[in-house]
Amino acid sequence: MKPSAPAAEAAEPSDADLVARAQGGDSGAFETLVKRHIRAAHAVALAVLAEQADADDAVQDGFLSALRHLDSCAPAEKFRAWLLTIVRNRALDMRRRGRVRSVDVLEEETAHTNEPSPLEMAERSELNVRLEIAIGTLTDTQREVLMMHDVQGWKHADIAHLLGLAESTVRVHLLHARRRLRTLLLAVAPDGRQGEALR
Amino acid sequence: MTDENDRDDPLDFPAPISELSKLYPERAKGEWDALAAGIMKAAMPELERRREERGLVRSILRVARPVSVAAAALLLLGALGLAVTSDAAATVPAAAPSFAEVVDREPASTLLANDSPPSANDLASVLEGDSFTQVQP
Repeated sequence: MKPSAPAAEAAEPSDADLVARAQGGDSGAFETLVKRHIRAAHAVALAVLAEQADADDAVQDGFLSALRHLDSCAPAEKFRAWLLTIVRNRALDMRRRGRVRSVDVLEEETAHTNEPSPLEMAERSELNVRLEIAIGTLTDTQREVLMMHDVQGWKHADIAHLLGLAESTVRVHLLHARRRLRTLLLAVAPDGRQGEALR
Repeated sequence: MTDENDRDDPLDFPAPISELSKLYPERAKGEWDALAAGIMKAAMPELERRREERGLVRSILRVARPVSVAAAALLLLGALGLAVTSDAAATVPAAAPSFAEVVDREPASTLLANDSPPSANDLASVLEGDSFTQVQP
């Protein structure tokens, strides 16, 4: 038998309920909020910083800042949008201050996790470096839109809402970001084999 | 990884770069759990502070509530008492003596019994009662 809607609501407390409980120091409620929104928060941070470890730091700082200022989250139903704005601002601040980890650390971690062959590792590492360099040449907004849409799978409307832009503007940024990446990658990899990644 | 809105994009809209998503592979559940655990560990002091703050407020309310209820009850009783007193004062008018009562009083009846006309002091005494101070001629 399909569970009724009220039963489902009872099993899944709303963000507003969890915020109210977390304001009183309920660690279980705050943990539920963290687990519910950690991926979206990480996606936003990664779109700004383009580094997993840096994004982790921004997410942690963002959640802690949100907890400290939880009383100013009004209305509590808008917790998700409020949190993502905090995390994004934190990531932008880190980027401005240059508080990012080196590319070498990320490559070491990625190589260790996937354990490819030495040849694959060399090719992938080379492509990764080229991609990261190319991403680094994009404007902040182009990079955010590209990462959120093409890496995280966000919809145009959600990106537009987060960044405070029109959907049409988001599409234009995505268009320019993809074109620029393709141009840069083809420029540094004119041979057909390395260009396969662009298909 | 693209949404349905991409169908509306023009034909010359460049496709996503496939290697981009490989650069940022989906994380394992354990990695998300570890990140969440790190956040919770760092959040514990603030959560503890909030619990203590909430407990302090509750303690104050526990003491303040009976006191405030008692004060409110006293105020209510005082207001009721004032209202009753003022109502009683307003509803009991000063009884004005009738003409017959004035005439039947001792000084008036004596004056009426005399043949001589009453002086001004005699009349004042009759009309004002004991509060009037008689002036000797």
